[in-house]
Amino acid sequence: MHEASIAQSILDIAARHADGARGGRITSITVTVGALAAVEPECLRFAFEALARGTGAEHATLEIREDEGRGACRACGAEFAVTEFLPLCARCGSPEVHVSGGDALTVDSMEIEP
Amino acid sequence: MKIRIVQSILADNTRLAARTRELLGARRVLAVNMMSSPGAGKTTVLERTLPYLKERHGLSAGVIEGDVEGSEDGLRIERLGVPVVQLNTRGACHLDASMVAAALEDLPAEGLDLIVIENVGNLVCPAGFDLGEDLRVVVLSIPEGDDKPSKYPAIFKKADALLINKIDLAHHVRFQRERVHAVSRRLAPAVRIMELAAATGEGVAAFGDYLAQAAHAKKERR
Repeated sequence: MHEASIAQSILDIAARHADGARGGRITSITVTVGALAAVEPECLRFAFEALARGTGAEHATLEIREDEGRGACRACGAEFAVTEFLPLCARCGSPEVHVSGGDALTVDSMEIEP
Repeated sequence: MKIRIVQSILADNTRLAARTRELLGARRVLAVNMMSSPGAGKTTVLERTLPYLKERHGLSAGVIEGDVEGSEDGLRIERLGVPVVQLNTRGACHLDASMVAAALEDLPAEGLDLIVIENVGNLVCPAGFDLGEDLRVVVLSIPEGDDKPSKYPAIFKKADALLINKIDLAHHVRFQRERVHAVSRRLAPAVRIMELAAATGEGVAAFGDYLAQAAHAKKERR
């Protein structure tokens, strides 16, 4: 359940920015979670809701955007989007795929109302 | 009102890890993050490897022991005469950079050539947290099964070295080494795979030599 640590970090970052904007109620937080970041979106949502209670983000919705990785086939050279750690080439089926990216974990934006 | 943030969720952890990397870089001390499931044999591997490093290569290690509870592992390392700090995470499933930075203050600042951080036994959560290490070593013991790299790919993808431990039990369990080698290499093409049996000492020298080479390389780094 390292999603709890991730959720707490999201809340800390949001609180810091809300303070910078002179408080206000946070209504939504948008984050990007890479498909290969080893973070389970549903676990993250559960932890976020539990940890947000009693904070300025208590009623905030958590918008989770997925970030795909890139696969490059060593056999045929095809390039394609990947959401798995062990993909097969989308063109030739080879398992020899170099995978990069897809591990983003960022807080992108939030909405606050006075 | 919309506020644009665009900040890494793990920025605080990354910053503390960078500070640790800088501190140990200045001291030219190698940092190793050792990860595995509970019971794969991390502590036993250290009990065998650290004395070998001392006797064969003249290298002194310090250890940071991460466990949810208790000090059994810390005491096992202490019996070797190796400086050790026991960390208890009180339920947390992984170590993070702040815990390691604090523990480093309790290890001797001089006289160490390498620091081994034994992470909490868990094949999932430790993968995402940079601790400021130079090397990530994953230990997989054969009774766990040869399907672990495909089931827990994140941790194997980030491994610099993979130790396949308890090979002395190979006659008692079904375990296809080739499958582990192949899947690990697909995830991490440069991974160095070593097979050993920490309980008997078989293969420990190869791992010790690997660490010694990395520790020497760090000393010579400009």
